[in-house]
Amino acid sequence: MNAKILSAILTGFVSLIVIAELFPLYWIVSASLRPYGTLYTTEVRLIPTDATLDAFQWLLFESKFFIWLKNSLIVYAVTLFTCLATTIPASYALSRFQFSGKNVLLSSYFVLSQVMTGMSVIGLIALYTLLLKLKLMNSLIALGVIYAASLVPFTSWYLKGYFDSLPRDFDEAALMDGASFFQNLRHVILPIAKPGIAVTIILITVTTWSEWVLASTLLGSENFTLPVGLVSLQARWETPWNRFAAMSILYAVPIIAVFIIAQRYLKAGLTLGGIKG
Amino acid sequence: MDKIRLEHLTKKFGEVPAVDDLNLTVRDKDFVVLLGPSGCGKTTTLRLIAGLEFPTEGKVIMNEEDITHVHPKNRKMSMVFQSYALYPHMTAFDNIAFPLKIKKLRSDEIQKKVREVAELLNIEDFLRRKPKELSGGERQRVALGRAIVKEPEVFLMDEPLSNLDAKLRVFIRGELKSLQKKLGITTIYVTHDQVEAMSMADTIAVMDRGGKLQQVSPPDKLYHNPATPFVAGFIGSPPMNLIDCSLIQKNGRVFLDAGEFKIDVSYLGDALKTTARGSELVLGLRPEDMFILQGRAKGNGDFVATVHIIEPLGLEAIATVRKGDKLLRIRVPSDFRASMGEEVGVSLSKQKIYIFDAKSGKRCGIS
Repeated sequence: MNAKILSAILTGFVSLIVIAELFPLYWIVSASLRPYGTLYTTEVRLIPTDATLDAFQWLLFESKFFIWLKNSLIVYAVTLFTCLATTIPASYALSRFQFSGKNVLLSSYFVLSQVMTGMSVIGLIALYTLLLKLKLMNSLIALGVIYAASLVPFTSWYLKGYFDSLPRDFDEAALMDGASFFQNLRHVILPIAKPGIAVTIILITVTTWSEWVLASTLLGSENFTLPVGLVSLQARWETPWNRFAAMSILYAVPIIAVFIIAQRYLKAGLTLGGIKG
Repeated sequence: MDKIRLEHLTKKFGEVPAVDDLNLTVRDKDFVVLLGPSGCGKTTTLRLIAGLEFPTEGKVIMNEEDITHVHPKNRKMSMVFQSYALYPHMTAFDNIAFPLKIKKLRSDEIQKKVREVAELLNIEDFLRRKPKELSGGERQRVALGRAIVKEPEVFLMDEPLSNLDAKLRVFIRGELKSLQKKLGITTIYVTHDQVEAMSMADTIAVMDRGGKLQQVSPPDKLYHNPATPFVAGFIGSPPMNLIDCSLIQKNGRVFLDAGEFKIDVSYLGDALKTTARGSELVLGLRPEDMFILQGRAKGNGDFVATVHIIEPLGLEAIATVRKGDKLLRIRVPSDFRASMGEEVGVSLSKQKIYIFDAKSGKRCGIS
C-alpha cells in the first residue's frame, strides 16, 4: 500500500518535471505557428486556432537563413576536422606512450579545458588584435580553427580516458599480427573506440553550433553564423517572436540529427567479447 | 639447430629486475614451457622475445641473428594472448584474416588460407560470428587460428588456457600439443600451472620469483632430478615435502637431523661428506616415496607422526601427517583409513631422498 502511494507521488512529481521541461518547447512551437502580433494577447490559447506557416515561409524564402546555415556548416566542418585530426592522435599518444613533458601537458590541458569558455571571452581583445594583424578578421575558417583550439584540451582529456579503458592487448595483438602504428590505429583502435569518438563529436557539435560571443565579435554581417543570425532578428524596438521561434526550431534540427547519428555508435559494451572468456 | 637464444636477458622495471640475467636456448620445433609462480617474469620474458618490450640488458637471437630491437611485425612470430585479444568489431573470419590483410594478400588467397586454418581447428561453422557471440573455447580457437594463419616460425603463448573451465582446459591441452607436433612450429608457452607444463612441454624452463632461471629440463627429468629446492617444491602435485635439516656425524655414521627425527644416511657414503660441507641442508621427500605404517608396525618406520588430515582424490588419497611443527604430505591408497590424531609410523624410501644445500640451493652429491 505504502509502495503504491510512494509510486503515485513519484510519478506525479516526475510528470511535473517533464511538463516543466517540455513547456518551453511547446511554447516555441506554438509561437512559431502563430501570426505575428497575436503573441501579446492576454487570451490563453493552448492550441492555436489561427495556426499559420508564415514565419517558416519567411525564413526559408525571404530571410538569409540558408546563408547563415552555410556559414555555420563551414565553421562546423573546419572545427570538426581540425579538432578530430588533433585530438585522436594526441589522445592516443597520451594514453599509450611515455614521453617527457607528458604530465605537464596533461595538467595544462586540464587547466585550459576548465577555463575554455572564460578564456575565449577574456582573450577576445587579444584575439581581435591578433586576427586583425594577420588579416584573418571575418574569416569563417579562422573562426573554426579558434573553436577547435579551444576544444582540443577538453576533447583530448576525454578521449585519452577512453583509450585508457581499452586494453593494450588489442594494440599488441595488432602489432604481433604485423600491423604498423597507423594500421593498428586505423583498423583496430579507431573502430573499437567508436563510442568514445561519437561522444567527442557530440561535444564538438554542441559547443560550436551554439557559440555566439566569438562569432558575433569576429564576423561581419555577410558571414553571420546561425546563432548570430538568430540574435540579429531581435530589432531595437520590436522582435518578431514568431520568426525567432521558427528559426530556433530549424536551428536545432542539425544538432538533433548529429545526436541521432552518434547514438548508434554509443552502444556500450562494444568491446565485450574481444577480451577474456 | 637453435631457433631462439636468449643471452644474459635482463629487464628491470625501475630498480626491480623482472627478468634477471636469463640464458635460454630454444631448439627448432621444440615446445618450451616457461614455468613459474605468478609475478616471476615469465610473461615479461615472452614479451621480450615478442618485441613488445625491450630488454635493459642482453640479447634475443633468432636464427643466429640479433633481433633484440627488431619491430614485432618483422619477427615472424605469432602470439596468443591470455585474454585472446580478439578484435571485437570483426567477425571470427576477419579476425583470422587480419594478419593476411595487413600483408596485402589477394582476397581469394586470404579466403583459402582462412578456410584451411578453420578446418584444422574445426571452427568453419562460426566464422561469421563476432567474438561476443562465441564461447570461451571457440574464442580460444579463433585466437589460435589468427596465430597459425600467419605461418610464423615461432608461436608465443601467454597462458592461453587460463580463461577456460577445467574440463575444456584438459581437452585443449591435448589438442594444442598434437597441433604443435603436426605443424612443427617452435613454441614458447608461458604458464604457472605445472600440470599444464608437464603434460605439454618438450622442455620446461622453471623461473623463480626473482626472475632467475632455476632449471631447464625435459619434464620427467625435472620431476626426478630437480636441481634446486625451488624446483622440487614447485613441480608435482602435491609437490615435494621440503624439510630443513643439518648433517651430523656420530661414531662414523652420518645422519640428517631434522630436529623431530633423524635419518641415517650413511649408505650414501662419501659423496655426501665431500659435497655437503655446510651443515644447513634441505631434505626433499616426494609424497609417493613415503609410506605410512599403522597398528603394530608403526614402530618399524623411520619416525612416528600423527595423522592431520586425509584428502581423497579418487584413485588415491593424500594424507597429511604432523611431526612436531612440520606437516608432511604422503600419497596413500584410496582405501587408506585413519582417524585424525592417530599415531602412525612413517617410513622413507631411502633411495629416493633429495638433499639440497640450503645456502647455495644446489643439489648435494647424489642423484
